Formats: sequence, C-alpha cells, structure tokens
Amino acid sequence: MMFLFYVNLATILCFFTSISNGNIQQTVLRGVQTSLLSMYIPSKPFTCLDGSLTIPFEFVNDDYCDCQDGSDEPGTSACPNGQFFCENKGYFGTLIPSHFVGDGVCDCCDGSDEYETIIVCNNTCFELAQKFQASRDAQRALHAAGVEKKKQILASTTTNKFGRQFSQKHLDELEQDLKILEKELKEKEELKRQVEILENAAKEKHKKLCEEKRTMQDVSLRNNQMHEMFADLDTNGDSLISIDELQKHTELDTNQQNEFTIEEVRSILGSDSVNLNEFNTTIFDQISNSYRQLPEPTRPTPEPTPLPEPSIDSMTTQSPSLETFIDEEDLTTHTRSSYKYEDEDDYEEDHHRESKTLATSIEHEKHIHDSVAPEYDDETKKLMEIAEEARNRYHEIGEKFLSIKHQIEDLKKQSTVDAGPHDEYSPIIDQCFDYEEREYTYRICMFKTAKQISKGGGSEVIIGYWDSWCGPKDNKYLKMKYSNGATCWNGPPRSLIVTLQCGIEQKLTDVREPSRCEYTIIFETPLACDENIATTSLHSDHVEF
Amino acid sequence: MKRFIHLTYFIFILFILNIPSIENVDRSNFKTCEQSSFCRRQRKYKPDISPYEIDLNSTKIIKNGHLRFLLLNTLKSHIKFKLEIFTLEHNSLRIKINELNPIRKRYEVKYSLVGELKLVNMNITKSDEKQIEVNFGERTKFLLNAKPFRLDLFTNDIFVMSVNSNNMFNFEYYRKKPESNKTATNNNNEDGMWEETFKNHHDSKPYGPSSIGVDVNFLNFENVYGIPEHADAFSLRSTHDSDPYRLFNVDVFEYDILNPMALYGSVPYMLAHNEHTTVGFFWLNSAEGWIDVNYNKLSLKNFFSTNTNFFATQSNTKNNEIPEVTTHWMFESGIFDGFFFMGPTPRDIFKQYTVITGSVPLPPLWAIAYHQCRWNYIDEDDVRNVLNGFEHHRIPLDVIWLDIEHTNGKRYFTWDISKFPNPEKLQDDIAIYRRKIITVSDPHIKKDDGYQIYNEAKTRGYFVKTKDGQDYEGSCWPGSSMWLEFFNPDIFKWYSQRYLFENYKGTTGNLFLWNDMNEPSVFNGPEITFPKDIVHYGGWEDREVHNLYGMLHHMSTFQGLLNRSNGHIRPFILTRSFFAGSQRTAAIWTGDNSAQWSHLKITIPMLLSLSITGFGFSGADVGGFFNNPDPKLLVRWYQMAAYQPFYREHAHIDTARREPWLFGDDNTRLIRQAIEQRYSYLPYWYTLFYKQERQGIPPMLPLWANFPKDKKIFKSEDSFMIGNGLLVYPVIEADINQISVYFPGENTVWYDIQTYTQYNGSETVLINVDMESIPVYQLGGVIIPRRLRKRRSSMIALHDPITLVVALDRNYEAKGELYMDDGYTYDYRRKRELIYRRFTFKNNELRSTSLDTTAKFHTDAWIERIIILGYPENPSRVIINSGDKQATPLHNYQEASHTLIIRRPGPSVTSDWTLSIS
Repeated sequence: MMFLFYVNLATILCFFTSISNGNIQQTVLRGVQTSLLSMYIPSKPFTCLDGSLTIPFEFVNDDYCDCQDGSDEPGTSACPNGQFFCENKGYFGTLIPSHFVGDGVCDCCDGSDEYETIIVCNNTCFELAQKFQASRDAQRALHAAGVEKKKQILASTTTNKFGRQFSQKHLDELEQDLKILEKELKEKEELKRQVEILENAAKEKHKKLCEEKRTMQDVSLRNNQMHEMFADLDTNGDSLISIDELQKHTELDTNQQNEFTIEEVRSILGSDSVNLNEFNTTIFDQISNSYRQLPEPTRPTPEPTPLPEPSIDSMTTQSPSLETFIDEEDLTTHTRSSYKYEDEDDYEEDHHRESKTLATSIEHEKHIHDSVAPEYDDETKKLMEIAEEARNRYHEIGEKFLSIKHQIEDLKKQSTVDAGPHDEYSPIIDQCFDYEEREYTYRICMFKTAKQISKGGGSEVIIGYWDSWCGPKDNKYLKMKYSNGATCWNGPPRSLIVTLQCGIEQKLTDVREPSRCEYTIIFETPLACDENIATTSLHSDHVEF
Repeated sequence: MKRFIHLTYFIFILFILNIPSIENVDRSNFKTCEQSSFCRRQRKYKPDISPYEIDLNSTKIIKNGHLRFLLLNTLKSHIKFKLEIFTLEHNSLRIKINELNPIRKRYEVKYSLVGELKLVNMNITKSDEKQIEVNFGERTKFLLNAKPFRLDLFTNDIFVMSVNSNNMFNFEYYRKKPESNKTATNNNNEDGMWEETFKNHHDSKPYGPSSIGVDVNFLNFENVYGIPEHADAFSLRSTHDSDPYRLFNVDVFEYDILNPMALYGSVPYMLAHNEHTTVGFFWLNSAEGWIDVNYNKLSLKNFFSTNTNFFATQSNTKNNEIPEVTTHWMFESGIFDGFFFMGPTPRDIFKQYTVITGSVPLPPLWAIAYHQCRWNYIDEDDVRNVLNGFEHHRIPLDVIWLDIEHTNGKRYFTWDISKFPNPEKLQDDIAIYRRKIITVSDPHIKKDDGYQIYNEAKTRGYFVKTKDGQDYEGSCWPGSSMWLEFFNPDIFKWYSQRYLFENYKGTTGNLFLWNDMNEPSVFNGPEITFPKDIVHYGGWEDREVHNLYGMLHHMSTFQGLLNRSNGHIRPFILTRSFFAGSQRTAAIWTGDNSAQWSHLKITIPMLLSLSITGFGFSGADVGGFFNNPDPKLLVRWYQMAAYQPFYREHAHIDTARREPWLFGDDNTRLIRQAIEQRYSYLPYWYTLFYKQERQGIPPMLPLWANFPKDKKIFKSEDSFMIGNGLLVYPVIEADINQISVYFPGENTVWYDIQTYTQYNGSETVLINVDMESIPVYQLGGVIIPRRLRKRRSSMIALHDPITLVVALDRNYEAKGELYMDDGYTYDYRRKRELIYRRFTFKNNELRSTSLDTTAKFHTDAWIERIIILGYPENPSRVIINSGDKQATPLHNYQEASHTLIIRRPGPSVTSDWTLSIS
C-alpha cells in the first residue's frame, strides 16, 4: 500500500476532509486484538505497528488504508493485508484477514466481522465451543484408548529397536555363510566357463551349417503367413486393413480389462488403415503371436485370450531406449534388485548377463517358431549336457547366495528403518494392510511397498517403495512417502503419501488419487496416538469453509 | 481416457510401434490442401483472363441500396449467376453471388447475422457499358467492371480492395453426375469431384463439385490479420511455401504452433491495416475453407491507368510500385456472400463487423474474474479442499469448474453420485462466497438405453443422420455416441430445455456451462469429426454447414440458461468450437494448448486474432493444458493472463496438480499478486466489456488499434493493449532479465503501473525484469478506475470503493470512464440500472459527469483515493465539490515520481463532483 506522509496535518485537519462516504462511524478499537490494545491510544497519534508512519488517531479505522502493514484499519476492509480480531466470546478469539470484514460472509462466530452489512450472522460461538469441547473430549478419549493399545502392541513385539539390535548376531552368521557361498560360486562359475567354451565352439560350428537353410525357410514361411493373415484380416477385400477390420480381433487387445477401443486399434495400426506393405513391415511381427482367425460370423465370439505378458528378458534385448521402463518392470517383479550392494553384486551381474544370452535365443526361437529346430550331432549334444549341468550347479549356488544376501539386506534395512521418534512404528515394519475399494485392493507393506491389486484378477501394480517420512517440518512423522512405483502411461512414476492417524484399530482408509498416479491414503493406528493429547487440551484452529 | 494403463501395455505399445515420443499433433489425421480435392482444384485455377463477365444490361435496382446483375461464365454460357450488391449502413457493402437457377439450392448461412441489415442509399455516379461507379456511406465507393468481372473498392478515394483482379473467381455450379460407363469412370471423378477418400474414410459427394474460389486483394497494405482460428502469427504469414490457412472446425490433439492448420473454430473474416486505413472482408460461409495469403509489389504500369491517381497521395509509389496483399479464398460449397468493411479507422472496423454479426454482450462480472479448472476435480471433498486452499492462501477466486468426470459415465446432465452426492448443497456453499460452479456438457450423447437423454432423443429421432438416413454413430468420451441435430429448431429447443432446473437435476442458479468437443469431435470420424456426407436438418450436408455445429450447440445452451431464469440472469457459456456470431452467446478459449514457453507466446497472437474478429471474450488455458509447466512458466502465464480477457487455469488429467500454492511460498505469492492485479483492474475491465457490447471494441487490442499511424507496431505480437489505457508487455521468455519495450505513439507519455516511472512515446527502452515483473504501462491521458481493496471474489467487491488513477498526458489532461451495474442480471438493459460515468481532468480540475443520465443504479461505492500521475508540482490545496457539499481532502505529493495522491476525497461514484487543485 502507499506510503503516505501528510504535510500540514494539524491545520488541514480543521477542515472537513471528506465528503462523507465510507464507514467512518467507527467503534474506535474495532478489530484490534487484545494483546495490541496498548498500541491504540485514542489520545495519541497512532504509529503503524511496523513503525513506518505516524498518523493522527482519527485515521485509525477511518476506512482508508494509511499503514503499509494495514495496522491502522483492523476494523475495516480498507487494507488488503490487515487483521481483524474476532472476540468470539465463549469461544476462542481469532484473527481473520481484515478484507473479510463486511464481505457478507460470517467469518467470526460472534458475527462481529459483519457489523456493517445487512446480512444477519447468528452467534455460533456457544455451539462451536460445545462442538470443540466434544471433539476435544473425543480426541482425548481416542488417544487415551489408543495409547493403551499402543502399549500392548509395543510390549508384545520383538522387532523393536532393541530386538533389532539383537539380530546382529544372526546377521554375522549370515554374512559368514555368504562368504563361503561366494567362494563356492566362483568355483562353479569357473567350471561353467570352461565347459561352455567347448560347448560354444561346437554349437558355433553347427550353427553355421544350419544358418543358411534356416534363413531361407524362415523368410518364406513368414511371408506365407503374412499374406494369409492379411487376406484374412482384409474382410472387405479392399487391400487395406482398416480399424474396423482389426478391431474384430479382440485377442489383440493388450489391455483386456477395457474393450478393444478404436484408439487402441489405431495405436496398433499406427494410422486409420494399412496396406500390405505397411502391414508387412510394421504390423505382422507384432500381432502374429496373438492373432487368431475369426470364428464364423454366426457363432458368438469366444472369450478373447489375453496376450501373454511379453517376457522382460526378451524386451531387454530390443531397444536401449526402453531401458528406463525395463528398470521399472524389473522392480515390479524382482523387488530385490533395488537393494544392490556394490561389492556383492557379481552374481547378479552375471545372472543378468546370463539372462540376456538366454533372451537372444528365445527371441531367435520366436522367429523360427514353426520350422524344425536344428538337430545337433551327438558330440555337441554331449557337450551341451555337460555345460547345462555346470550351469545348473552354478545357478543353484547362485540362488542360495542371493537368498542369503537378501536376508542380510532385509535385516540391515530393518535395523536402519527410522521407525518413529521413539521407534514406535517398529511393530508394523513389514506388516501388510489392505484397503478394499470398488475396483482395486490397495496393499501397503509398511516401510516396504505399496501395491494396487486389480480385483478383476490379474495384475498388481507397485505404486511405491518406502521412501521417507514426509510430514511437515514440525511433524515429520505424520506422513510416509512411498515413491518410485511403476511409471504411468504418459505420466510420472506412481507414488503414495500415507497420513498416519490415531485409531483404535490398525486400518487403511480413504484412498485418493488427487493427481494422476499420485495417491494418498490414511492409516489409522494406535501407534500414532499421542500420550500428550490423551492428557492435555488441544489448541484451536480457525474453522474454515 | 483410461485411468490405469498397465506398464506392460505401455512397453508393448512402444515396442510394436517404436514410437520415439508422443508429443505433437499427428498431422496425417488432417487433410492438406492437396488432399482436399476442391482446394486442389481451386488452388491451381489461375487463368490469364477471367471468363466471368457482368451483363450490365441486366442491371436492376431492386431498391435504393440493392442492385442486381447477371454474371456469366463466357466459357460455359448456359450457366448464369446473379450478383447482388447491397450498400449497408456504417460504410459496409455486401456482395452476393449465387447460381441463377441451381439444380440444387445452395446453402446460405443465417445464424451469424443479427437481424435485418440496414440498407443505405447508393449514388450511381457513373454508368456505361464497361463499368458502373457507385458512392455510398461516408466517402466510400465501388467500381464494378463488367468485362471481366471485377470489383474495386475505395475509402476516402483511396483504392483499398479489389475482387477478382487476379482472375481467380471460379464458381463450380451444381451439375448432373455424368453417366458412368466403363471407359469414362476415371474421368467422371476427375480431381475428386464425385467422391473422395481420406485415410479410409470415403466421402460419397452425391452432389458433386460445388466449390467457390475468389481472390480479394488489399492494395497498399502490407499486413492482413484475422481468419481465426490458427496457432500462428498475428500478422498473417505468406502461404506461398505452405498450405493455405484452413478454416474447418476440428479437434486437433496436441496442436502445433506456427502453421496454418485448422483448429476448433472458424471465422472467415480478414482485416487489413496500414497507417491510413483499416478495412475488412468477411465471407459468410460455413463450409470448409482455405485461404492463401501472398505479399506482392504491384506494378502500377500494368494496372489499368485510370486508377493510378488513387495512389497519388501515397508516399511509396516510387518506381510505380505499391505493396499489395493478395488473398485467395476457397470454400467447398455455399454461395459467395462477401461483406466489405470500408473503415477507415480500426474502431470503425470493429463497429462495422459487429453491427453485422453482433458484439459480445456484457458478461457477468464474475466471468471476467479468475477461474480454477482441472480435468478433474474429483469429488465434493476435492472441490471443497481446493476452495479452502484459495481461502487459506488468500487468493481471490470466482469460479470452480468440473470437467467430464463429474458425470455418471460421461452422460451429460447427470452427476456421478458416488463423488457428488449433494451437488446442490455444494453449489449453495460456494454461493456464500458469491462464487460459481461450471460443469461441462458436450454434444455427444452416450449410446445407452438406460440413459434418459439418449432414449428420448433416440425415440424422437433427434440424432444426426448419415446419408442413408440412419442415426450416425461414432465414438467419443463415453464410447459409442450419437450427436444431436441442433439445426432442427425443435431439437434446438428441446436441448435448451435440458438445462432447466427441473431437467438438469442437481443444478442451481449458481451453476453455469461449458460446451466442449463441439466441432464436433468424433474420435473415429474422418479428420476426427463428422463425415461430410452426413445429412442435417433441411437436407443440408455437413459439407455445407460443418463450421456452424459448435455455434448451434452453445446457442442452444445459451437459450436454455436464459430461459432457466426467465431471461433475468446473464448466462455464461464457454465453448471450444465457434463461428462468426458465436461471440453473441459464448466466451471461447484456445483449446488444448501445452505447457511450453512457445505456447505461452502464441497465446498473444491467437487472442489478438480472435479479438479483432469479434471474439473479445477469449483466453487460453493458464499453464498449458497438456504436460506440467515448471513453476516459472506457470507464474509467467498467470502474470500474462491476468491481462487477458478470459482468465482460467486448466490442466489435463495426466498432469500433476497445479493449484497456485503447490510451488512454494514465493511462487504462491507471485501467483497471488498476479490474480490480485486482475481483480484490482476489474472496474476497468468491466467498463471495457460494456463498451464492447455497445461499440464492438474488444477489451484486448493490438497496439495499432490505438496507434493506427505508428508503423513500428503493425506486426507486434509480444505486446497488446487493454482498452486504450494499458499497454502490456508480458515476460514470455524463460530466462531473461531484460525486455525491450517500445512505447507507441508520438508525443505520448506512459507510466509504469507499479512505480509510476514515466516513459516517452516512440521510444524503445530496455526494462529490467525479475520474477515479480509484469511490465504494464498506463497511457498518459487516460483515467482508469481500480479497486485497490482486496476481496475473496469479484461479486463480494461489487460495492467496494474505487481508486481513480489519473495519468496525465503532455497537456496535463486525461479522461476515462467507469461503468457499474449489479454484475449479473439484465436489469442494466431492462430497467437501465447502471451507472456510466465520465471522468475528465483538464485545467487542474477533475470532473465526474454522467454519460447516461437516464440510468440509475444504487451503490454505496465511493471514491476513496485519486492518484494523479505526472502532476508537475506539490499543490497547496485540493478542494472537492459535490452538490452543496465541499471538502478539502488531504493529499500527498511524491516529488520523485511526480505523483499526487488524494486521500479519501469521498464522493459517491454515482454523483457529479469536481475536484480542484490549486
């Protein structure tokens, strides 16, 4: 607001300074909060509370804003940033913005903010006080009962901080085992490596022989199938495959929960129609696995078979640009991989490499699906058997190694989880809770994962992994954050904020998705109940809309 | 939109399609000129001599102001056309050309015009066998050349426009389909005359070719504007190396900027401006249209000599060359129905166009305040929480919006009661703050026997029909859908009645409407809309009326809302699709833009193009609809849009929440300040909207509308004006700390609205900017009414005191207006309950007088403060007189900025008063 300094104030004030409009029928100290009354002394000039200006006291509450901080007009709406004090006898006195004064909305429970308007504000202070009292009592009772429950839970739990420290011994044992296994694993790996050299040499030789023949078969087979499929799809014989034509093939719908919509069809076709050539280059390979001939039109359409989920491994080899999504996918199926230890991931890396090699061969098989698999000669077969044996051993030990390693990770993680200021949430570490909604079950395994499970059967979607406590600065343990869940179509990775609330039973309520793929949920638990609330009174808040 | 799409599905799709990214429009969904056969045919039509000739012997004076001629095609002499000329009031001319005896009646648009057009006398000053010369209006005339047909137009004796001077007039008359036999099959459909296929969509074209092309040329002009809607430059670009600008209402997913592709609405109206004259050409035609624009130099030597004297007054006739903008207009059907607006000033042009098509009526006050929207506010709790957020963060708000998800499965006129169990209560609670709610209602009707609207419409045969007479079925948000046939007056009426409280359950007088997807958007239709051979009421094909569909939709909605209150309350409707005339019943927005700096920038030319073609009440989604704006972009958008007519935040369902307080305290404060600035100027905005209703002048203007002679600003699109008083240079670049501001006008003076710093006209100044900056300047000579008090909503502030900001010009003079009424009813029209004041500062006196003494409106509003900018010295005394009252209000003078502030002068805004400074 403007900074004003009036010259010759004293003399000018003798004049009638305004054609009377506005609300100057002031009650001088209207809107001044009790604690500041000493600053407003009618016999003295008034100094704005920020000290920026001194004005005649007549300018206080004269419906004109003189002070930058709005302190000269606590009782009118003249200043955009002033504060009006509602006395609210029988309830709590509250401060509201002074621009709420006279706006036709009853903001003070005593109605004092609407002194100048024609609207009638009922005095609701008594009611509010009663409600407040009742709610405070209820809170107190809830927290008291909750605290009792909490004590029971804490007493009966073994995985509190104390217990978790105790497991150090167990951890040491496991780490010992892990070292032994690691050594063994290296031996097996060496063995495997040696036999595989022999095996690969033999296979390579054989492969070269078969390759030419296979390629030829492959191409002509594919071509035949492609033509057949095109002719079959092109029901109206216009040498184009249109959206309607493809849409009949509901087996191609990758998302079987919805109907096979035009958009989905279009996303497969890439346009409204394709000719043979486009079909050959962009469509055929993608739909050939799931494609089925339509039954006779007179018969009812059979239930479409959902497309098997594409193998993760086979995808890994496809396109480097997909890597980010692959990682997410990895997480959903191999949650462990998020707990990698830098110095102990040899096996995992190998394992990964292994699956890539494996994937290439699956991919290859897909291409030659119907042609006869190449027959190896006996010597090669023998070598392959040996190699297979060595691989199995290696994997056997590898699995054991991983399992122990993950146990260690869990233990370590558990012992490092921040389970609240007094470790009070340790009883629920790893405990899972479900919330049932129309379409989905939401399952939160505390300090671990949050999932959305479709009730229609089928998929689980990870909506987040335990991330951190994320309440406001003064109450960090109010909210939990689970982040980095599966990425949304056209959106962010899913995430979840859990707000903790005192309750007698442990349960999830009120799941919401305020932004796309950003979920919120409330978790009621006795562990969130507060001894202080159980014994003392609550502070009041301005009651809003 | 599917809510949960599985990751595997996503990967699979990426995998099979190998899509690098899904970012921009799929252009292949929309036709190029080459793919639209009539455009292809017309675009290549350019004979050396036009075969069209007027038979001057046929001249018939129907009445004074209305002439009729026969027009012949000398190559096909059996086809006759009639050419009619109407001289209209306000320097306007109408030319209609139609087939004399068409074998099929040609469509003429009636919905765009307001009532009967008033003819004025014409004065035939010359008439011989070659040409006829006619004076009309104020110093305007036309010259009709007979052989070949050609029309030249003059304003103040200056040659401004010419029709068919490039011989491109080409009228495809209706003809019988040639008998098909085997050998001639190909020829029968020569160049797509009898059928056309686009991306597997077949257009049967049962009536064959019917398009019309014509060249309209603007002489001595270097800039043309208008023909929205395109996401393109304000001064239209040459289409020499691109497609023509296209007019065809379509839903373009994630549209690109800076290209001539069609968008959601169409107004076939173009303006040309130079330092002497502003003129306009409007071709009333609702079919698909394409317009080529080319900038040439016209050699006068080649031009017929009798006209050379008309250019003699021009400065740039060196080398006997003048600039010319040649435009080539092509429409698929209908008639030639051209309106020529002769100016000569920008303000004349705004008036001339809106006299024909109507002006934006004064909206309710709350509609020009701030709107909060999102696809979607999920449920009642969500709505209440958002409203509480505005309360908590002290951000003013007038309207909250509900997108499609509030309905029961996209069945419009219903509520999803699991989310909105008590919509009336919600509206009543919102009404305490005098706020409003707006729900969406689209024209597609879900095909569902359990849906009452569907059933009733189905039973009564109210749906749009295919060429075979079947109900047309397509897909949109609800899946399989049908579309209402608004062209049928019964259906128009029936639909409007759906908005009555008894039919639209759960609504109250605090609920208003949003008509989206009304191009119409048909997900599986050709070019995502209706097939052209759909048959509408009266037997007209969609081909002929396509661009009207959206307008009829929102006109019907308007009628419904009007009837809902027995004509008492002003409706508010936002529409996405529009046509010339839509401005009378709806506000529009620029559709589904994107959270990118380039989209922030393009908003200015897009809104300016709309403004000057009648759509003074328009805006763009703040923040950008698609994608997530970074906080900087969002803040800048709020700052810019605070100075644009329609101010609404909106976001796609896939985006993160972006209510103003979600980006940290600093950004919340910046956004709050921007919105507060908007509210502080609402008295000015509202006055401008009233002027728009009365005079057709849009509130948001190109700089040249106020400074028509300043050649530096003819292409400006980084800045705009609000009324004649505020110059806005929004910050539209991501990382800059300086912008270059050109202050238009000779001898003008401008004041920074925050610091009151003065700047001189005709100067370019580098202005430092930070995130706080919204560079806005008040023109010296203009008085602007503001409300510097803060309120939660505009309607709550209705009777709050006014601050007058008097910006003095070099002669220490200024004037301005203030309009006020109850903000929401038609009482300002019916009972003349309004005040309209004129403030004049001259000779050290500021006077308030009434511009409308017969009107009266009761308000407690008073003048609480007068800020005089550019006052030379500290005065000794200020006295105010009103009737028999006199007072000497206190004042304060700020030497550094030459600002005089008068404290609490106190008169009622309704009274006459004089403030004298000595």
